[in-house]
Amino acid sequence: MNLSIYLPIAGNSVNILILLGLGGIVGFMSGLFGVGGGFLMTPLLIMAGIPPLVAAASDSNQIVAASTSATYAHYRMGNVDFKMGIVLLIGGVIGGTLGVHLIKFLRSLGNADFAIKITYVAMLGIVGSYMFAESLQSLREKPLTSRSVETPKRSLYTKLMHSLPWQVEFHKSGVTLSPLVPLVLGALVGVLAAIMGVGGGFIMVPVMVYLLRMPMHVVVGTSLFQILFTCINVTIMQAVTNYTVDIILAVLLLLGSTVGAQFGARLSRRLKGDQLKIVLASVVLLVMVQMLAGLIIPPHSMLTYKGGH
Amino acid sequence: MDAWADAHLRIDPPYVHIRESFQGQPLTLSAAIPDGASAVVELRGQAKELVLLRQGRRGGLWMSVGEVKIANCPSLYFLLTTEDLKLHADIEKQFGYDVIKNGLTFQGAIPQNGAASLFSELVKLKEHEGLFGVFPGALKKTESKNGQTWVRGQIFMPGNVSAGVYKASLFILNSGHVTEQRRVDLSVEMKGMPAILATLAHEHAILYGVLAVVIAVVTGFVMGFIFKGRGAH
Repeated sequence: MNLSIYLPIAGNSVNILILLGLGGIVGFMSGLFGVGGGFLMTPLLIMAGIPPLVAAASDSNQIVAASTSATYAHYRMGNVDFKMGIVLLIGGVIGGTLGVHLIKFLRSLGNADFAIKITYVAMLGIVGSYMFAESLQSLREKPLTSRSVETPKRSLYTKLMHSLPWQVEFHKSGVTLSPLVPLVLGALVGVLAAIMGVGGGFIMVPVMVYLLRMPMHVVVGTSLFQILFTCINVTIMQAVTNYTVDIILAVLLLLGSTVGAQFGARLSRRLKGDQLKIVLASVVLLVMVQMLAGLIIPPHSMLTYKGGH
Repeated sequence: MDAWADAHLRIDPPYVHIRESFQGQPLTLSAAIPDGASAVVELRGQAKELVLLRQGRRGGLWMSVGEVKIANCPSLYFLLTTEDLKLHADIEKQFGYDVIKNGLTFQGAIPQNGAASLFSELVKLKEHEGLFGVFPGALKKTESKNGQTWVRGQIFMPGNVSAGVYKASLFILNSGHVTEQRRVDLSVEMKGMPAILATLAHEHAILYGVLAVVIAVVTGFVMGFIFKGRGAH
């Protein structure tokens, strides 16, 4: 039985089961850990032989579908701060647009794939190490006792936040701050989304919790709302500017990831939070090591196609 | 028509259609040649400029160190010969990678040791993709009748072959010299959904981008509904 499918934009045929399986594995992890799976999906697609730029752009398209259903669910539960989300979104659109042009510029220099890989290595390394260290500390029952150290930092941060112009109250999140803060943070996440093909949830969630001081239940819904629209923008921009969106690839990944997420969510209820975090951190670090190896080990050929095609 | 009566190169199937389940296609090349003669079959893709990136080490990491433009490079190249030509020294001068190499021009980030090393890297890259191959002795002489011998060989058009017209050539040789030449075109076309999507993506990029988003949003809602709103995040 022929189970391969031709991907017209990637220009290659891939086994359907591999794509469904990749989607399922990443979706399972998403459901298990409660984070977006884009930062794992793109490197896995590259490992499966999809050109890097097609992998990143098509994954943005896949995230549109995955975050649509999740945002809708959170909206029904009243967990979306639309005011904050729209400011983050404006920043995200600006950042996403800049990111797509940045890729085009890097592509003209011939360094787009290298830029994607090195950004990944750095981001995965930072996020993975932080999560690993934090959850290991929690598992050893040594809670963070740095309140005395954090307090002056927090007051300095609070002072800085209050010194910014146009202070606005965000009722749903229960915070008052300048819209410039979520605007700039949204733009930074948008640039990352465009370059790496991720929704930015694993960066946006800690940013909203630690820097915007929003309550956790509103953070998840608002992050998803912002990610959804940021990735819609990135998908259209990638399709128009770089012709790198493969609809078939995105749909197959979505079918796998949505189903996998359900099984992951079931398992997550049986595990402790720190156990989950340390497993996720280990997976993230493993992917980081694999990507790093690709930059250190000599390539198969000294010539490669421009833009990964 | 009597198949033995002509020396035309036959390709079976005579076309390649890239459809939804395409993962490459084997092709059988066959021809009737005079008894005692040898044969070479060559399949070439359209020549075009190839823009590649040369990899090098910078700061301990492997990365692109510059662009290399290679003019007149065939998108695909396969060469098959009969067994008796396997060790024939003249064949390498008339056919094969040396002929391609002589037709190419390299521009851009040429390494210090010259373009020769780039050509061997190009061949390595193309062979790895399944788009280049030289197969001495792959044309088998099967049966003889009325002073003619039937030769047959097989190649595999890989899943990453691009659409276009490919030139298949049959060279009939006596004592290492070409006595007769026949040529036939092989058409590789996208059909069905791949053709529609590739055309949309390149000729109506905005529509394609919007369609990609609409499909994702609708699929997301449908999946969310099926699983009661619990999505991937």
